[in-house]
Amino acid sequence: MTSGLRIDHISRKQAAIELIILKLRELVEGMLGHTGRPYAEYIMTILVYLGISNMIGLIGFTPPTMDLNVTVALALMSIVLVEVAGIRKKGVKTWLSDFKEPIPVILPMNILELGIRPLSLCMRLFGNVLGATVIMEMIKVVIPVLLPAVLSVYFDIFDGLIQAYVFCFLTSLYIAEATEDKERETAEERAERKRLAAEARAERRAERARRKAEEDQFDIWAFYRRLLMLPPKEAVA
Amino acid sequence: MDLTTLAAAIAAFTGIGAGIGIGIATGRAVDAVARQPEASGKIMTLLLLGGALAEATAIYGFVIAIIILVS
Repeated sequence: MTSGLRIDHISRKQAAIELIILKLRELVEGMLGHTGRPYAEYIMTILVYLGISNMIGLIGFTPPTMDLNVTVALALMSIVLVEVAGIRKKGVKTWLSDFKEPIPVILPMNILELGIRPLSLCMRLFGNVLGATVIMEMIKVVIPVLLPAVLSVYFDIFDGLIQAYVFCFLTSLYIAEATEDKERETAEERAERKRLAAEARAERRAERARRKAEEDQFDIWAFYRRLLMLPPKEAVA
Repeated sequence: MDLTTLAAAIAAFTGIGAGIGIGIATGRAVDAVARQPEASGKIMTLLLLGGALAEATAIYGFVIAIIILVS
């Protein structure tokens, strides 16, 4: 398929392939954001592989993603890629110290996430494909005519594509999160922020005092008392 | 009675959470489309994605049930 590629006077086949690649790249780069762009080719490959292997049940093969080993391998590749992307972007030291972001209490959660992310990725894919296949087999036993063909549109095509998309979406979300340019505030910026906050507080206090003074000037209760010809408050007390 | 079958049946209760989640998500999506029909394409993509993510909990239950039945 890739033989005889040219730069000018391209064949129809090459134009079709280029269109598919460009559309895929557009989709994936939208999910990755500009910092994760170098990893777009990997995500595109995974997307095509998962899309085809989830739908291969249509032509009578067993989907490879129904095997737990395949999904575990894919999830491990994803999490390794995410962490390596983070280290390449930030360096080992910042990468390690980012485990206690945004607050240090969350450190154990962030470490657990290293295991939970690939686990949920591979179990989601495996369970969905296996579940769809099991349900299809059961329906084929009960009603072997017509109904399986209709339901296969959902279980094989729609669900398979959605799961492939979700896998790639989550992987690229993790990559985008690991490589994002975070604004790290310096000591000066922190002082500036504190000064601004103090200013705002002082302003609010002044505003409140001003309003209080206005209220004191016009005491509605004193006005009513005068209206009803009651004695002033101090006299009652 | 075999208790492993019962355990697998209990694991299937995870479907409740996924059902409620997808129901809420779809309801909100309908709200959003009614309010802004021109944004329906974007809402549809987000809904499908959210549905797939919410469905994952039910799938975990299914996987656990199968693990219980097999082991």
